[in-house]
Amino acid sequence: MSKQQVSERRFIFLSLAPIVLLFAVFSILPIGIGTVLMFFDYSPLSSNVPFAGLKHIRELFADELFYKSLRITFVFVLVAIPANIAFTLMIAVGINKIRGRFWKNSFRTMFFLPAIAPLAGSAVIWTTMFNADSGVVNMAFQMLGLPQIDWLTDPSTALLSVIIMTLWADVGYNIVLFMAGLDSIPESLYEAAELDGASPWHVFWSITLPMLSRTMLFVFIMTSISYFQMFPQFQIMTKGGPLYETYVLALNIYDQAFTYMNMSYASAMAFVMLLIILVLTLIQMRIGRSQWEH
Amino acid sequence: MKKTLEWIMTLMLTASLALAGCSSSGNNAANTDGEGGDKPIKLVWWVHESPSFVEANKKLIADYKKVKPHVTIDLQVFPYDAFVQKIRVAMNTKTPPDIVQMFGTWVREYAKNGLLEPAPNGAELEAEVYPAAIGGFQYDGQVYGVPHEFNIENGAALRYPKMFQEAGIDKDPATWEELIEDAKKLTKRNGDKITVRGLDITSNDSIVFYFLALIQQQGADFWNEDRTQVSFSTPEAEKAMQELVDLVNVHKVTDLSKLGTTEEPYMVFFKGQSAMTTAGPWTIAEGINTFNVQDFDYMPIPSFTDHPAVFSSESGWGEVVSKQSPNSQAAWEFVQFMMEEENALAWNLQTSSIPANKHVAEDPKYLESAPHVKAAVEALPNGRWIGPLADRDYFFKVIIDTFAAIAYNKKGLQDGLKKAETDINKMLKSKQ
Repeated sequence: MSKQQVSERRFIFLSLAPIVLLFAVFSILPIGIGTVLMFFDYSPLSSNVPFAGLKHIRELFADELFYKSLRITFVFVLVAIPANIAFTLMIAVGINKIRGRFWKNSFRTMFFLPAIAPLAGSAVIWTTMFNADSGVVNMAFQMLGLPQIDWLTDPSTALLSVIIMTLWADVGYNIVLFMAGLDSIPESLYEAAELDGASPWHVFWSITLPMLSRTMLFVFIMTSISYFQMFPQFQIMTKGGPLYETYVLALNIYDQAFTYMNMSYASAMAFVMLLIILVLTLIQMRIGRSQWEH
Repeated sequence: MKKTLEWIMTLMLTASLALAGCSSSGNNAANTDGEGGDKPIKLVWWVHESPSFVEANKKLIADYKKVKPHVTIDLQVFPYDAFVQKIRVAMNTKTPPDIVQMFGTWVREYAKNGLLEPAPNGAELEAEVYPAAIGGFQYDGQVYGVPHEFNIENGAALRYPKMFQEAGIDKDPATWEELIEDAKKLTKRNGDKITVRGLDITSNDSIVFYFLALIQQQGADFWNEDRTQVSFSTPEAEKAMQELVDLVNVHKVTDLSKLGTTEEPYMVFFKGQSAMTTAGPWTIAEGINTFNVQDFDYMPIPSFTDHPAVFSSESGWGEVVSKQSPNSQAAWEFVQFMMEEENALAWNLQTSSIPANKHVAEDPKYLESAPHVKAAVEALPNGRWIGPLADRDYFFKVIIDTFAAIAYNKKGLQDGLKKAETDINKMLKSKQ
C-alpha cells in the first residue's frame, strides 16, 4: 500500500469514525439491547433480571390492546400517507408552475415553515385550536352555522383531527422533495408533449408522474417509516383516547415502558414494530424498483 | 501511525467528555466530609414541581439551617413527568438522591426492591399518622417514609355558593339523592351542550375514587381478604359503576367532553364551567393563586347510602430516604424535623394540604388558619388506605377505560367490569 493510499484510508477512517460511533451508540446498541431485553423481565428498580424466554412474545399475541394499537397505526398510515403524497404533489406541481423565482421561493418557504416548528409545539397549538369550547376551529364552524364538534374527545373524530394536524405539520419536507424531483425532469419532454398537443392532465399522467417515480418511492418509504413511528401529537393531543381510538403502536410502547414500567414487554412490542417497518420497506423497494435513468 | 493514535485518543477523550456531561449527579457527586459531629453534610432532596410545595420545602430548609447550620440541603425540583422517570432510573444506582418527596402509592415498589431505608421510628409514626395516610409507606411490617399530607380526592367538593343561590339551593345536600337533584338544578345547557356541569366527575382521579368509594359506602370492599386480588363482579361494584355512568347518560349533570384531556375538573371548575366538582383541597391554593378565583368554598359530599361516607385514599406525598444514601442518619433527622408538629402545620398550611399527622389535623390552630378545608378535615376519619395497587397508573387507567366504554355504550356493565377485574388481577399477580 502506497503512502498516498494509507493517507487516504486514514482520512476516510477519521472522517467516518464520529458518525459511525454515534450510529453504533445511539442506534445499533439500543436496538441490540432492546432485542435482548424482550427475553428477560427487566425492571429499572431491581438488580435482578430473570430470564423470561418467549413469555413476552406470547403475551403480546394474546393482548387485545396490542392488536387495537396495531390496527389504529395501520389506519393512520393508510389514510395519512396517501393524503400527504396527494396533497404535497399537488402543491409542488402548483408551485413549480410559478414563473417568478421570488414567488416560487416564497411559497416553498411558506409551506416548509410548519416543518421547522417542533412537532410537540405544533401539537399543543392544534390542541387549543381543536378545543371543543374555545377552539378556533369550532368558532369558525359556529360562524358558518355548522354544528360544534368535540374534535379530540369524540371517538369518531379524534383520529381524523390528529391526521389533519400531522398533514399540516409534515407537508413541507415532501413538497421540497417533490419540487427537487420536478426540477430534474428534462424540459424537452414537456416541449415535445406540447408540440403533440397533449392536455395538461395527460402530461401529468404520462410524463410528470412516471418521471417522479424514484422521488415518489423515496418519499413513500421515508414517510411510511416516519408515520409508523409517530408519537408526539398522539401523546399531546389525545393520549391515545378516547376509547383507544388514537392509540398508535408507538404510544402503546411508550406507555408499557415508561408508564407501567414493563420494559421487556415494551421491547417485544418495539421489535415487532421494527419487523413491520423493515418488511414493508423491503416490499416498497421491491415494488418501486425501476430500471431506467435519465 | 503515532498521529493516527493521537487522533483516536483525542476522539475518545471528546466522546467521553460528552458522555460525562450527559450523566446526572446524585448525592455522591456533591458529597460531604462524612456523617456525624459538626462536619459539613450535604443532602440532596428531590421533589416534583408544584409552586406551593416548593416554597414550603424551601422554608423548611431555611428553618433547618438555623437548627443544624452544618447541614446543607440541595433542593432539586423537576417537572412531574420528568420527576417520575428520574427517580425510577436514579434510585437503583450508586448515586441516588438522599431524600425523595415520593407519592405514597409508589413507595411499596421501591421498598420491595430494597431501595429505601426503613424509618428508625416506625411504630411511633404508625401511632401518629392516620392509617389511610401511612398505608402506602408500609411494607412487610416496616415503615419506609413519612407522609406529610393526607391525600383526599373524594369526600368533599369545590362549589360556587353563588351558583347554588341562583339555582334556589339554600342548604348543603344531606343525601346522595339531594346531591343529584342539586346537580341537575345547577347544570346549564346551550341546546344539547352542557355549558356548566352540575357535578363534574370526569377526570381520571374522580372516576376511580368515586367508583371505589361508592362500593365501600355500600358496606362492601373491592379487595379480597389478603388484598392480592380485586373483585368488581359484585352487585355493589355494578351499582357503583352504573351510578357514575348515569351521571352522564341519565342525570346528564356532566359529559365526557373533558375525559382524557389535560383539563382536570378543578381547572374546568375554576374557569366557571362547573358548579360543583370533586377535588382534593390542594386545588384550593391553585384556584386562589393560579386561577385568581376567590368566590368558592369546599363542601362535604354525602354518602351514597346510609353507611358512613367512607372513601379510599392514596396516602399522599411524603419523604423517603435512599438505602444508598451515605448520610441516611442525617437525612432521617431532617425528615423527623419536617414531622415536628409546628413544622408540619406550617407546611400543610402553605401547601393547602391536609395533615397526615393526627395531632396537627386535630389542632384547633389548623382549622383556624385554614377554615376552607373544614369539610375535608371532618371527612378524615372516613378515609381508608386504597390498598397495594402495585401499578397505580395501570389500576386507575383500567377503571377509567371501563367507565368510558360503558358510558359510550361500547361495552355492557357486567362485561366491562369483569374485564377490568381480570386485567387488574393479572397485573396484581405479576407485580405485587
